[in-house]
Amino acid sequence: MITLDNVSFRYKQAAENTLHNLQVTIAEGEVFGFLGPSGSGKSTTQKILYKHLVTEQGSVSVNGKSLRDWGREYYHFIGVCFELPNHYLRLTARENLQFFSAFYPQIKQETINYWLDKMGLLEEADKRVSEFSKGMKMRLNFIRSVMHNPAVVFLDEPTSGLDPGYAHKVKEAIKGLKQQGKTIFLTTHNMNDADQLCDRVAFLHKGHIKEMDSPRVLKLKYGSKKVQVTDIHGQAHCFEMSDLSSDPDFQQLLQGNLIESIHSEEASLEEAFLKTTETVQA
Amino acid sequence: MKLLKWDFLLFSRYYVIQISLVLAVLYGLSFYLLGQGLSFELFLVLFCSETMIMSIMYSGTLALLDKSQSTFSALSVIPQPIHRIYIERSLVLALIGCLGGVFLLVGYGLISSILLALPLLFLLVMACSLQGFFLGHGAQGFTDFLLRVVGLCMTYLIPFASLFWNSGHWVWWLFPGYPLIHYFKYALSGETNFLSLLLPYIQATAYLFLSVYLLKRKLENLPQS
Repeated sequence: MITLDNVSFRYKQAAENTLHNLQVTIAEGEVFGFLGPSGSGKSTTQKILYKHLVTEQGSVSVNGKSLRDWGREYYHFIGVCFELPNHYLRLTARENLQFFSAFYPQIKQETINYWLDKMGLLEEADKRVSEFSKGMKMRLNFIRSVMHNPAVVFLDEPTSGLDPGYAHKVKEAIKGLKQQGKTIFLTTHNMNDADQLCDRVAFLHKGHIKEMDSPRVLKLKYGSKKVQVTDIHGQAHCFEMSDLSSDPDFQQLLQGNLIESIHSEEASLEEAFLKTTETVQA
Repeated sequence: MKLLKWDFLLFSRYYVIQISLVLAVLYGLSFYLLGQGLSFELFLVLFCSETMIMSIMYSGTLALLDKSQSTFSALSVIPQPIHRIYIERSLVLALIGCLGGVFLLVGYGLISSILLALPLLFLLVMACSLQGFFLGHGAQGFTDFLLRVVGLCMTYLIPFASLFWNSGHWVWWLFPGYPLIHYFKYALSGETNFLSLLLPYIQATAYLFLSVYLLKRKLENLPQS
């Protein structure tokens, strides 16, 4: 569905490339997470993908068609949810959506109402956006990006500024889009979101893709499996799971019947991300 | 054209329509009360300021608003080319400008000129609005916009010198505001001929197309998000 073939990019007057030979293929219906620290090139990649930047090196194709060959009809095919709210503050939420729906003949009033309801904004739909909290504006951003039923959706920090309840609603909506077969390109700093939502993630660092795989595989690769043991005196001990059978300290606790509780510790995507992108402070 | 309704609503919510019409009514009323006490030359300067220069200010401010509220980035991912959105907005501003122009002309007692003057005014105000959008999108902020707008306004005000000096010289035609001066001067002098009335329309149309072209280039080269 989306292919970046050897894509590099350099801004005018920049000394070096922002992106280096990106090689990514995203399948139809896949939720793909793009993770990286600030300045790693995530935004540049997104801008290339929604045609705000043109790359001279490498090629990008969406739905089998080079980005160069897509005209403005590309924006029927994709939806973009920006990181920051961007609405006409003196229009109501409904008016903002109606304004943008004027560019898409297929959008009906019922569709707008459906999404407003799904994102918990129906009751506030006739309030001016200037009265909205950041979280409400972000939900409105999300609605605007999906209301024309695009095949590919670019989401930039879609749960940023949302309380856990509404973040859950947005995540459920993303899962719903996946079930409908939409391809989703998700940029986020939130490792939990990436872990829960993405089929695959790529870790970007200084314009290079350092790792790309499913969250599960990355966690296994970079995380160490440990067990946390608390003894009957309340003291905590940590053991490598692989050495458990031969670890004398663990055996001593076990045979002395001194163990109060045992918990296995799973590697997190965050751990894998930090190890890969070398941002762990020494 | 689908957007006209929404542009009217947007302009109304940001009080562009209300401010424009209140100003036009106040000007028209002042012209009516001053009667013959207001010279034709001063009327023309005020007419130009209220219609054309104000439309540059309105459109420039609206462009800055699109930047400050980041709505420009949202507009950059819609299927319609972005310059068309601004052409439609200019159309709405031209209609508002024409409505204001009617109040001014009626106030000054030039009712018979309305029919021929309005299409010319429409072309000129639309070109001014496009130039305002051009300046607004090129500016870093409102102060920067104001500095740029002074330069543009000069090109509209300089040709008023033609009312007093070297009025027939071709060089005045290079200024975008000259067609209005030329039109009124000849339309009211009784020396009118077809060509002298047609020339302002041709020049105004040429400036309109030039403004569309420049705005399109500007928008294509802007960082969009």
